[in-house]
Amino acid sequence: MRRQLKLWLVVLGLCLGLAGGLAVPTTAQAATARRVLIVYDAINPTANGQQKLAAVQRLLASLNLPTQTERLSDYQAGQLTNKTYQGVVTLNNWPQGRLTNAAFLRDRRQFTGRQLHIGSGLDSQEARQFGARRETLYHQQFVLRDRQNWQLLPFSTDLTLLSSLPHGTQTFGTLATQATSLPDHAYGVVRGRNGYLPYLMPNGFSLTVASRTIAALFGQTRTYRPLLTITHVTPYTNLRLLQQLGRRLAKAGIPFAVSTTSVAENTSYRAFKRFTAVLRELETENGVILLQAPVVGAADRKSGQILEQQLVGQLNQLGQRQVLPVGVSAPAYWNQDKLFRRYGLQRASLVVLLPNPTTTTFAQQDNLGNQYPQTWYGVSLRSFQTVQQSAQLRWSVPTALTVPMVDSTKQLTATVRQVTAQTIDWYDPSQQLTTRLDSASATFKYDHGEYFLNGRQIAINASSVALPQFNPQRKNHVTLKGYFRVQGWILWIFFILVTVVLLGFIVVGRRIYRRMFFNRSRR
Amino acid sequence: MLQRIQAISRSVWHGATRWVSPALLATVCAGVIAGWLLFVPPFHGLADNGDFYRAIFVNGLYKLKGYHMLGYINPQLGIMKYFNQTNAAIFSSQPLFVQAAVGLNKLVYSSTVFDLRFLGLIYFIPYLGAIYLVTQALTYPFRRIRSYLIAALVVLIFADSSFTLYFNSFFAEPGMLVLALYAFGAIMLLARRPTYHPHLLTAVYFVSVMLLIANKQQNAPLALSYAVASLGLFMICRHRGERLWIVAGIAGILVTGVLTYTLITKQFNDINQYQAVTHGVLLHGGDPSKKLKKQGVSQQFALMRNQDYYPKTFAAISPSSDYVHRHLNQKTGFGWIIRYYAQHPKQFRTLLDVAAGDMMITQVKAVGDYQQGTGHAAGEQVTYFTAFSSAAGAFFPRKFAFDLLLAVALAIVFAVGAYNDWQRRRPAGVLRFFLVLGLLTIFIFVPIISIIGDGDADLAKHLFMVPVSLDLILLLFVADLLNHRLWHTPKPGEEAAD
Repeated sequence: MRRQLKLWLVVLGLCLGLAGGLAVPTTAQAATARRVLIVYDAINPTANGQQKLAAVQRLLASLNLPTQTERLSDYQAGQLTNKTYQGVVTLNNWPQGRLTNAAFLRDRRQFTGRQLHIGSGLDSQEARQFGARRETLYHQQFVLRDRQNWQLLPFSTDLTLLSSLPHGTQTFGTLATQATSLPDHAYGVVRGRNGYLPYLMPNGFSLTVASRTIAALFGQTRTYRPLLTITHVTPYTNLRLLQQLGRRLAKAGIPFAVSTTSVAENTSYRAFKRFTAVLRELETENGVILLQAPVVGAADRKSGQILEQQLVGQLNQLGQRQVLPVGVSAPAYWNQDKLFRRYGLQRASLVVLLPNPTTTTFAQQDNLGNQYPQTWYGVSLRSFQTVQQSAQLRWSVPTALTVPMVDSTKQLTATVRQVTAQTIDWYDPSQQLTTRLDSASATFKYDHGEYFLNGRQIAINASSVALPQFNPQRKNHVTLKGYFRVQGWILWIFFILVTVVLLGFIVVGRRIYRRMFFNRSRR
Repeated sequence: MLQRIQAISRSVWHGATRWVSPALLATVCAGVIAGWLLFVPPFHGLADNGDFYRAIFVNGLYKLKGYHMLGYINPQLGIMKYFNQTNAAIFSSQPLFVQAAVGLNKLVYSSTVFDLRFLGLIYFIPYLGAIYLVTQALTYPFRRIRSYLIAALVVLIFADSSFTLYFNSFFAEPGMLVLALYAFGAIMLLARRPTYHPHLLTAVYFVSVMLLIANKQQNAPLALSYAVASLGLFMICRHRGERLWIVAGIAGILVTGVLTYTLITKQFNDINQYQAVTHGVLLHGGDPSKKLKKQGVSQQFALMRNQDYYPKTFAAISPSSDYVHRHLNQKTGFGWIIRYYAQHPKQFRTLLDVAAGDMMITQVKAVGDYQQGTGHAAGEQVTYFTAFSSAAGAFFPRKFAFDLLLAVALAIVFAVGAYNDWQRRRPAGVLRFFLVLGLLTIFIFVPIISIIGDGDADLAKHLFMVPVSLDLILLLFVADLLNHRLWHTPKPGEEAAD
């Protein structure tokens, strides 16, 4: 009996050993994409906290860093110290809340990966790691300067800044006040494995400096050229204006992307033909098309398949008409949802993450942000309008500068003027971009201005395309359909007959009635 | 021997009819049939189709954890303990019923948990009264076999589960059913039995009609129908003071209609206007792109065909967005839709046929009728006592043209009775004619208004008053045919001799 047991133990040991041995490569693989943990204290919607959190998630995704987001109160002891994370971001949205989690503070102190603190509440231990002194400035309006560019910031109630920074500390941008007596402070600070941003804005000049800080903290120094992206385009958009906008941009020599939603139904209508014809024309004018994620009305765990069907339907309908999207654009929260990622974003090698709408409807929220081969950060061009520029802005993450679709000729002129006035060196997809997008049955490829559908090169021309009958209308067989069709007629005939007979009876009856009296009178 | 049996059976029959009137029989039967469905566990009802929140939160209730949508009914809800910050999403008389149910629940059951059956009870008790009144109005003064047959018909039609299931739900329809029955019963009794509490019945009639109209926004146009139906009341007035009261009552009905119409919130207007286009104008007419362009709306909106205002899954644009409001809703008002249908009559006829096909299907098939854990699938339908609604739903002709002919035929039949009575100075036939005329306008115009106002979206629910009105007319027709008073009202003495 004992021997049998021993044998079993040996076999079990062998199995476990084998499993362990097999597991090694997987852990090694996981190590290459270790996540960054984002810990935030509260959403604080009055201070736009949701957008700030989304901005951090988007920035890290753009830097090819997968993330996991956790609320401070939900943080569990030991989460950071078990070495599954390559970095931790502390986002403090609500200083008045003074929310703390002792386990998190303790673990963060022992954490050896990269650490970034954003917002107020930098504690003394964190400041010590920078070897600097904390200084809180109240009720100031700052100017953020970086190289020869500057932007006046909104009024701030209090800001904790670092001073007396030791030698060898990297700083990004300077914050100056209007009071000349106060010295300038650094905005972004990186020292070794620690980074600090006293505040974060989801757009504008501050964002470019912040993104440079975060990129430097994670050891990335590349610069990118921004892609002009027209957003809020739908099949219902004023197509004449879209056409004009494309022509004007082409004339100005500015390459651009159009982020548009589409439909999977009613595609046999003239309206859809018009829509795709305009998109085709844009493709010939050095524009690329991004398929924008649809608006989510309601979603639950069963929505994955519906989304898959919808997007595949949309892509196939567009693809048949030579509109070949080069990537997918979606609000940032789509990247925090398991189903939206799997059925929406992962099909594309290029994903543009746009700011969140006011309401976010999740299907299966898991707060695990992924990165894609190319993840672009969408930010409005308008937020850079008040930047006083003397030099080119530097973009440390792949950025899509967005302008909303215009709705009148006046807006069109204004937008074109605004875009052409920029001294930005725009990203040109036809020179630099290679992407791939999978539909269920088709693969779209874009390679330096050339389009491929299932590996076959497609020549885009603005003229109409002969369409194969892709989804013929299914005919439903209904029992008694014939009966119901003629039923109305039968009833009509029946009623008319009855009326005629009744009228006949009335006439005959009246005659008999009268005859009765006449006969009587004759008698 | 045979004679003795006949004599005994006759005396038993006389004894029975003395104690059990047709009205009482109908009430007891309806009570047992509907009571079993609604109150005996595991009781039945209608599941939430997504509209219940309007009635739940305003009345201080909330959804408990594990709240079901569509598939199963929720037997219990929570009662809010603290301040309720919810504003009424719509103006309606429905909260009167729900508040009464909550109050009763607090009084006898619990102050924290609301049992759905209390709501059912609040509708059930007045419903029994309404059945009594309607049966009496149809059978008085007889207690013959045919009177009991009429009572059985009343039970068959109005105790149908497709109607009574509504009681255990937060839909507004059960209130409409009960109030419509009261209005019908009260006004017919006024005609048939002038000495039976005439003032009280008149008051019951007007109050029920006003509450009925205020019950739901879509009932606003019913004010006109019931104004027509009330005209007959002038026939039974004896002096001028009474006429003034009737005038005041009719004015009250019209004012309620106008108020209900004007108090429709902007949100509801937007929803209806949007769906009137996507579920009406864009349907059944081939590619609508060019037609839209011709009528001055961007043809791109053709792609919105069949879209709901609240998308059930995903949509290319949010229908509540500013863009859609500016470019679609603001351009496609009521007048625009009427002009559109005037230019496309064939499409409008098709839509009306769709409505005609739906009108007799009273059971709400979109939501389940059972509780979870009772061994029934999600969304399963009750088949208990649905013979009438199933038969009517299956066999009633699905052509609007038929409905028109039927309406004309019925109007002519009742007009003959009214003419004969008018000549003999008897009010009953005239009053009945105006009532039938009013109910026929509901039968004909509600489908038209529904199509223009909200397309084929939610059609079965928008048409709720149509089958109720038609059932009442047909019942009246059959009852009067059986009682030989369809063509004229006999003198009181004649009736007794008949």
